[in-house]
Amino acid sequence: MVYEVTVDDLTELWQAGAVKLPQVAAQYAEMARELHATALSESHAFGQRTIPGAPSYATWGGPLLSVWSNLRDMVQDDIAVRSYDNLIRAGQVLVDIANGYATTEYLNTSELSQYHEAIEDYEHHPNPDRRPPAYIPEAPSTTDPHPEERPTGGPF
Amino acid sequence: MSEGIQDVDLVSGCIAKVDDIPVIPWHEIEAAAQAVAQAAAEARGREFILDSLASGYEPGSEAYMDTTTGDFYVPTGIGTGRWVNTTTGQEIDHNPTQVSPSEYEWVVSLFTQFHDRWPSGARAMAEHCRNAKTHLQSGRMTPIVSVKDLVAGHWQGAASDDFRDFFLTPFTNAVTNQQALLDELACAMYAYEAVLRQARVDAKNIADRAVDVLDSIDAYGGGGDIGLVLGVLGVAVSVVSAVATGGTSLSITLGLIGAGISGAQLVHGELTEGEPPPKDQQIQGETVDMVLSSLSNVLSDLRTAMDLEERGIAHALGETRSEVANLLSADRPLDVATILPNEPNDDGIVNITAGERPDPSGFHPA
Repeated sequence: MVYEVTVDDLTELWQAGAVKLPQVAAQYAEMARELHATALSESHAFGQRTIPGAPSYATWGGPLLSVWSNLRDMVQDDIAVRSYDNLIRAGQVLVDIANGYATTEYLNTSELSQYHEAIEDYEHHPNPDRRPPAYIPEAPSTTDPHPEERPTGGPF
Repeated sequence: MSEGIQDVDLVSGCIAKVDDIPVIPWHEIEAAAQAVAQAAAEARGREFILDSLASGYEPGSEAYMDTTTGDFYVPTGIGTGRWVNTTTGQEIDHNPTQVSPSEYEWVVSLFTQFHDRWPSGARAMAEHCRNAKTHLQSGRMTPIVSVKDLVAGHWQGAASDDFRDFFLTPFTNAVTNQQALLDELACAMYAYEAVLRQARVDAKNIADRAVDVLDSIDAYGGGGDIGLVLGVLGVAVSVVSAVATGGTSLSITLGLIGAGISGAQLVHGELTEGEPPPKDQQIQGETVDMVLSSLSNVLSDLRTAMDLEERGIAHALGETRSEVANLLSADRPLDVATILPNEPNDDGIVNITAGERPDPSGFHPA
């Protein structure tokens, strides 16, 4: 069956997949990055202090750290990173669907060029919120390294 | 039209509660503990004189000798007298028996457990959670709402319907719950920071009061009794109680911030093992050994109180962890979607969020 599609439908679907879902994915990447950074402060907050002139302590942890970091891991890995992945993949599929309908089977040549012009306009839209994100940060998992060198806060 | 995202801000009041408690740098606690060791050594020196006087005393004698220094004490009345050098016979400032503070280094080490963890570390972790939440605010999540409206209004088919019903539609509610989860993580760290801060305040106070009692020990006895309060008891509950309640309807149960007063009770230690130590404490004793024994007991109670507060927070947060783990592993996709919008894997329908491409019949114009 050949469905009737309009240029507006396809343009909006393309925009949803290429612009909007990646924008939301970027927010989840930032969320994951913030949660990832909490791990850097764990040793200070829970008893491993290493600064010049101060005694250092080899053991740290405690009942709260284990529960807290476990919940943090779930929120980071199972919510933030998974949402990020879902949004990125869904965005690509919506773009594919829109492009899949952009054929002579569904649109005439004039509509096809309208569609391609509309996408072209979005690609170079003067408002950065309207064009596809130029850069989407990675969403780090809890097992990823910490490129940051030092935790925020302290020394007290 | 669809409903927007309800933003959650529950823990702002907690920060003010934490900031009511001063931050005492770790080295000030260390210095206060060193002062206790110093005061103990000096008081012990004076006690030696007392011991010497007692051992050198003979009924009817006109002067007592400090057997350690050889100086003589000549009584001039009850409780008064002057010290005289043995060889010159001149009145002198008696040089008390010297005891090295290093003999009381163990007292300093008793205080380490109250300053080896950084409140600033807990604060940093809380702030990161709050920063994480700013990325989920309704303003930044607006695009998902418009995608939902687009798919719901213009597209249909099995893949489209699944994508809409299990991913896009639950998304707004999930974001609210995700925000609350981040506030929950932050709240636990604020409460913990308060415990760390208050334990330092208490430890410093205990050290200062111990010095007061030790300083009152003199060559004629002395010592005494100074009362103080373990402020750390209940400090976590005071922070958690500052959570803004009401006006927010969450579809998840949170151990700390969602339960409100019942969460506060948890933090009180009622459901954690062990009885809390008494809030009112005394540093007391007539001798250095007695005062230090009393100090050791009070510090032990402070540690017990501190651990109790930490376990109370952990206990309440553990409920949240269980809730989240249960939701993530729930059988029904819409239960999982309470916190994680997701498409079912086993319904035979193409999953757009898994990157699978539907054919036109699965995703077509309405």
